[in-house]
Amino acid sequence: MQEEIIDFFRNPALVFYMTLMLTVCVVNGSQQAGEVVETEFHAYRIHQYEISGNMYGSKNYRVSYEAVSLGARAIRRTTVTTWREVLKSNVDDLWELSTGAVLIFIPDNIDELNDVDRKAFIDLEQKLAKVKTDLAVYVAPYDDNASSVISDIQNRADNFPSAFQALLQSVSGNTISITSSDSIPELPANYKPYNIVGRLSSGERATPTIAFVAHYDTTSVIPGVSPGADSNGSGVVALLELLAVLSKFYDTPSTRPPYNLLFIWTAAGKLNFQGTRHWIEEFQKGVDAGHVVDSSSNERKVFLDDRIDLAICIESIGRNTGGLYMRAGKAPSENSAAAQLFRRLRNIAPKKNIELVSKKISLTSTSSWEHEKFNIKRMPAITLSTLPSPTDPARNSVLDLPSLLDEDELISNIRLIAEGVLGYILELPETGPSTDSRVTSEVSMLSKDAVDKQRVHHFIRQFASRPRPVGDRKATESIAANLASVASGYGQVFKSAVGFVDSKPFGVTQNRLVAERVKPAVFELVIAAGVFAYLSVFYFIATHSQKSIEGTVSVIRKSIF
Amino acid sequence: MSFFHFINCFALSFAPYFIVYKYSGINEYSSVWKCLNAAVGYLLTQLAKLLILATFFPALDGDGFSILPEFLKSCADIVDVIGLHLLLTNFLAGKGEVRIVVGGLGWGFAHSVAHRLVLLWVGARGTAFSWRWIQTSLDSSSDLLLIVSLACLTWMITRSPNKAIIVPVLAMCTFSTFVYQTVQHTFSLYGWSLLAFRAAYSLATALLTVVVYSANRSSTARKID
Repeated sequence: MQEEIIDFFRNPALVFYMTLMLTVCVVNGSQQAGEVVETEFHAYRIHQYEISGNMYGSKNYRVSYEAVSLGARAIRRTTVTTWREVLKSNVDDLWELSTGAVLIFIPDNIDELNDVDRKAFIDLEQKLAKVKTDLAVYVAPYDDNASSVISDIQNRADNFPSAFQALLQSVSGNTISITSSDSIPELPANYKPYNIVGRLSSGERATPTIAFVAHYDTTSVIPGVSPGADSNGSGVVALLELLAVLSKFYDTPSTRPPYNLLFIWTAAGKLNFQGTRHWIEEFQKGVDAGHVVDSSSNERKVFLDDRIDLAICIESIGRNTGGLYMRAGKAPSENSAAAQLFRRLRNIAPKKNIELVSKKISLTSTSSWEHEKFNIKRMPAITLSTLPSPTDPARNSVLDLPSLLDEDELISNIRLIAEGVLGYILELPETGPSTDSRVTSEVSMLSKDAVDKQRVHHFIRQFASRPRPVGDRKATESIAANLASVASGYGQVFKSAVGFVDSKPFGVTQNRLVAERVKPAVFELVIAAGVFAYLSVFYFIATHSQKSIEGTVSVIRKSIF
Repeated sequence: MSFFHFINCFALSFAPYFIVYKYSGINEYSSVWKCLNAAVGYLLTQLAKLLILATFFPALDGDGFSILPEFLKSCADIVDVIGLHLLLTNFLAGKGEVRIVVGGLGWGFAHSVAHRLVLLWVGARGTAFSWRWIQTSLDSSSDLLLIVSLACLTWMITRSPNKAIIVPVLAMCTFSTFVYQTVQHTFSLYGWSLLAFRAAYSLATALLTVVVYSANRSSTARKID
């Protein structure tokens, strides 16, 4: 017997057999079409960040729980719901659960919401923004798969009229288990996004500097989907365009204004302006160190003989809100750069409603505007913005979309800033060429098309149309590299890595969630019973086969042939 | 698929072969090695079939379904009949009926292993529940019916004087894959309905085979008389 077995395995046919088996399986496997049992969602996690020791948002990103509907408050489950239900019902106690997940379906065409829905969506954002929870909270665009998953979950949650139906449901009903499938690593501890600094130099020593500052990251309750076109895509675009426009004046020594210009794209602005704080610290160190820096570290060399005359922070100037606000820590004195710039802006655009808003800064709470970081270190700074309030819902919203950006407004604001700054650094008369009020000719340093519409449009597409949250390492690195490469076409460019001091970003802004229909374990027992019954019938037939076939054959023979 | 589910499907796929071998009385006439002979015969035949397909129908995986090319392709299934014939006449011994059942069992078992075992093995990785595996496993019973019928008809075709009634039924057996595919595409049958159709088709073929067999028996009996 043993010999026979061994002989069998020596058989070369066995090898053929194995090969063949695999071939047949591969060919056959692809033909089998079946019901859909697995659905995949591209889901975006709601924000998670830490500022001065306090954690906000959703603390978890792993999901591997059975799905339930919104009504059930069960631990270790995935609550699957739609955004309207979240708005309608009181979900405060949901966030108190210690383990589990929430999946909220949002409309897939955020761009096309009507005004009512838009308002409702902002309400949802505000509701979610307050959330602090241990659950993994995801949102995903609504689609056909989503509706089938939701209806399955609803069916399961419905109450049944009779106990028997309930029992049947508990034995055979589909349950849906939702699992996060991408294993994206958390951000490494040494993760540092870059500040990008572009510089136009006057070529002379000890000239004052004007800095333009804009943070380039975006955020919202759902960082993975918010392109942040206005906040702060418009600022990034404005700085690039200002660099392009003003660099022309620095091309030849004869036209060079007696000011250095810095264009600083700061990282992690949405995390209490980490990039700005980092740059200021580096700058002050460079000044205090007393010029002793070797040539290898370019980054500091820039700051050697710089004195910041004014830092102009730009945020959200791409939307027409009926005003342009200049924000300062305190009312600037008559002869300060800020006051002069303000007067110039008003004179250049008398039709525009330009207001000066001064608000005392707080040293303890988080800064609401970028200039406050400069003010804390006693450096003159202002923020230009069209937003009337720092808590404006449009500032950090998913709905801050490129399609809602007013390009003409953005271009006119860029032009206004360029003119104002040029007038200031070239020391042109504030009130125009003539003090006589009867002279009304328009005077401009810039040609009509100096602010190039095409170029601005291109910058918006490149820098203000995609989500770039600081937690998304890839997006952040790519935007920084792109900024550096574009800016290097107009001036010197430096990079410096930003460390996080009083805050911390978290990764995993998006994930793939797989919903699978599974049956309860009891159901397998039911199937096993079925299999057993089937095989018993088979056994019965097999044991009687000889007799019955012979019987049939003789019957047929007699009756037909 | 859970482990339990895998066991269920496995039992459903392979237990019928075991039961038929063990309890139909065939084990008294022939050893299990003869069945394995038949399995090896299946392997070699499939190899020949694949070679033919690769030679004459190189563009095997075109999109869509059209009757004529599929029919030509399934003509390669005639190789099955030739292989089975060689197996029955040269490698198995004993009474004709014993050869038929042993050959059919071994052949069918090899077919089932090739079509289901690895599929189940690979499918066991997914956690989602799907009826697909149960359906695939249930199909193995109808395949068993069909293959034993095929063996019976192949045995008779060279030994019967009235081939006219055997050939149509043999064609039914041989082109079963083609029929399944055509029906599946024209009536878009999937899942349970396709399974039911396959079971009905196999059962019909098996019954017709019994009829043909009895006709054959009566004619030989008359000859002896």
